[in-house]
Amino acid sequence: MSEPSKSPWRHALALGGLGLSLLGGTGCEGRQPQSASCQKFVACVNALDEARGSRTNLARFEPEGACWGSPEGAKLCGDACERGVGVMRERMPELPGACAP
Amino acid sequence: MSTRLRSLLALAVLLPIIARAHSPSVLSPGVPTVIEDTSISYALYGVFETGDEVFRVKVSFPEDFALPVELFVPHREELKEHRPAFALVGPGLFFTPTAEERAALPLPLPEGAGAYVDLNRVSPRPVFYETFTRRFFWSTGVVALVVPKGDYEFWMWSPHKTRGKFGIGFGVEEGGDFSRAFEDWSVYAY
Repeated sequence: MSEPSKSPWRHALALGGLGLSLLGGTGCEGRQPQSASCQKFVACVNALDEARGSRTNLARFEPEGACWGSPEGAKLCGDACERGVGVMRERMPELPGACAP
Repeated sequence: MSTRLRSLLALAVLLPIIARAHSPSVLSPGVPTVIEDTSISYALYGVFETGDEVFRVKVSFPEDFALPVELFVPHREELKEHRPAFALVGPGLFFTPTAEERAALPLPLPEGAGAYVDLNRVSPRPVFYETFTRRFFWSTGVVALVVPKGDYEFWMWSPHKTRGKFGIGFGVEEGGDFSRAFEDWSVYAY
């Protein structure tokens, strides 16, 4: 079994410290810095947008985004970004240089 | 203070908090679940009773969007071979399924649609501990997907006709009505 990550409802990061405390959970541990993997993901998608003339809403992954409101959210998003960039490298030809390893 | 009073006070304090959290919902096969607001996060739960079911969730993105997505299964011995698959299907997706993925889809791919397909084959299976229910779950592995604006569907099916519970989660923003989790506690906490 791989190392488990801890997450309150995994995709629901808004229970807050009090709610979790009442339920015996871990509580709120504050904002986290944006992960390196999400810096890469954001840079990659921004470069894709520039090439395509589009604009993707990446707010949640950016430094002030919802991803970084708790350690659990940061773990979730960090993992998601790492795999997200990997999936794009595998499945999308001619990616911008910002998406390279 | 009595236990009953403490419980009531705790609930009174807790409900406004949990009402801000994401929106859980129970899925039914054959009846597409429609998600109206994709700006908040969701954990949607279902049960493969026969293994033949296809669960569908309709989502609409008003702008080009990026969001984390994963499918998960309770970490229980009897579900160790239960590996439901999921696909995000719709026009404009950058991803074209491989021939194997296309063959595995439970429904015909609409003309012009792309699809991101996860057949849930990664090994070892990623595991996470969910601190609210205090349960472990197996995951497909969470992935951040870039989705151009438009109408999409999530499809969830059981490629090997295994039976059991599953959930699909996407997004990270708060919102919705988490209190509904308590209405279907046996589904959420298994």
